[in-house]
Amino acid sequence: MRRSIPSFSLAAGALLTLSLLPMTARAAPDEITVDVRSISASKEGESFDVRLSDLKTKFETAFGSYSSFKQVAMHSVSIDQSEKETIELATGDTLEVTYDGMSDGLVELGVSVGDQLSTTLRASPGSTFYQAGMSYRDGILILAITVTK
Amino acid sequence: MSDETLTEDQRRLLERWYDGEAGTVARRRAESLLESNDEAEAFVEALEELGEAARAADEAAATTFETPAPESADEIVGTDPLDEQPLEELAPLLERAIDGELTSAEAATVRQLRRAREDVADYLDTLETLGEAAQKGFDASAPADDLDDLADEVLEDLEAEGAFRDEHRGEDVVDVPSDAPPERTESADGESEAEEPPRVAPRQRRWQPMALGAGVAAAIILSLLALLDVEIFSGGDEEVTREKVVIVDRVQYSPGTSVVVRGRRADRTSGSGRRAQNQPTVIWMLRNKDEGSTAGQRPGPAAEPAGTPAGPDAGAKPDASPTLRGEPDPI
Repeated sequence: MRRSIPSFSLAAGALLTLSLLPMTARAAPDEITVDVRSISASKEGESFDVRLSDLKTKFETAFGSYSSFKQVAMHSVSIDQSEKETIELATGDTLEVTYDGMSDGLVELGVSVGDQLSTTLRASPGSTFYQAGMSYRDGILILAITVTK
Repeated sequence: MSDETLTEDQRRLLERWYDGEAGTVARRRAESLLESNDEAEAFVEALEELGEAARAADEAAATTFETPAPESADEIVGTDPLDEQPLEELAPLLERAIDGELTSAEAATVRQLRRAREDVADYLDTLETLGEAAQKGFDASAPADDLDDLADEVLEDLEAEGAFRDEHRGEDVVDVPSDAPPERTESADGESEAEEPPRVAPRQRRWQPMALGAGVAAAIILSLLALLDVEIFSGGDEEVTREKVVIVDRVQYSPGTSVVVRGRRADRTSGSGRRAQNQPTVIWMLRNKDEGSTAGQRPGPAAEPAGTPAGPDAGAKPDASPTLRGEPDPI
């Protein structure tokens, strides 16, 4: 017991030190996670993929003229600051997402689709935005892009 | 001199003294008791009478049997004279004497050896001292908290009797009951010195467990607070808004493509921005049918051939015609 006390004291001291580190400060995350769901939308028929249940209300607002939605792909990537990730889309185009850091609590992103579209935006962590309009099958392809840290 | 009744401990002390089995401290106590108490003197006289009666009985028994009683210690111990017998060979007999397992004849032999040989006397004294210390510890009824004090008392008694001092006997009295000289080391000036025996570990401080317990408790509490995400050290940071927003800052698109953004733009005013904020942010990318024919015109479902990307939600009219090149007009 005497020999273990110094070791135990060191462990308790280390634990105490670690727990005294500032806990409220939220430094900019070194990496973010971007989830990209590819959804096929059509005006033919009427169906709603159960995997998109969390987006149903948004779809009814933004894509009300379409009646059939089906998730065709799901990609999740982690991006370090100042780095980019590329995702191959179902249309054959390439989606490129760049993480440019944080600004006032918002994630700065660069999103481009091939050489057709390039945009920069700021998004709250946990928010979802959409890119739509590319021709896919008998309708369009909708990209639901969610950013988390 | 007093005539107080002797206690059980005093009687045992006097018995050991009479049998020659008392250590130095015990001998002094017994002698002091004899000087101050008549009862003690009477008790010792009774012991003498008993001893003489026992010896007489032994002699009588010896004459009865064919094997004569040993007349000298030489016959008991062995062929070698007592003065020449090594201590290690006598050690078993001496240890039995301390344990009280000797016959009267053997006890007489041991008394004789004690008087005749200093090394035997020293060995017996050491055994008696250690036995008294052990007995003291076993007899102690103090609670666990007082064991440290008890240990100190025992150590003080041992040190007072010179159990750990080299100059008392000139040999390692604790471990080696032999004639081997003590281990000697040479000091810096070349003179040899006797190596000090190992010391007993110091008493464990009582504050260590308390400090350790307090430290562990504080660590556990802080860890739990961290897990519960409780702010302890406020750095004065601004509250993070919980409202989820997506702000499109810039859009670029290629010729033959038009873009319509639904939702919140960076240049939105507070009024329309609040309404747009509730809508999901959608970046529509529309492929123009013909650059020349669609310049300045609004895209719509009717203007697009089958297979081309459909336009935005009919219920949400674009505010202005998208341009073919450069930044789109504000929505």
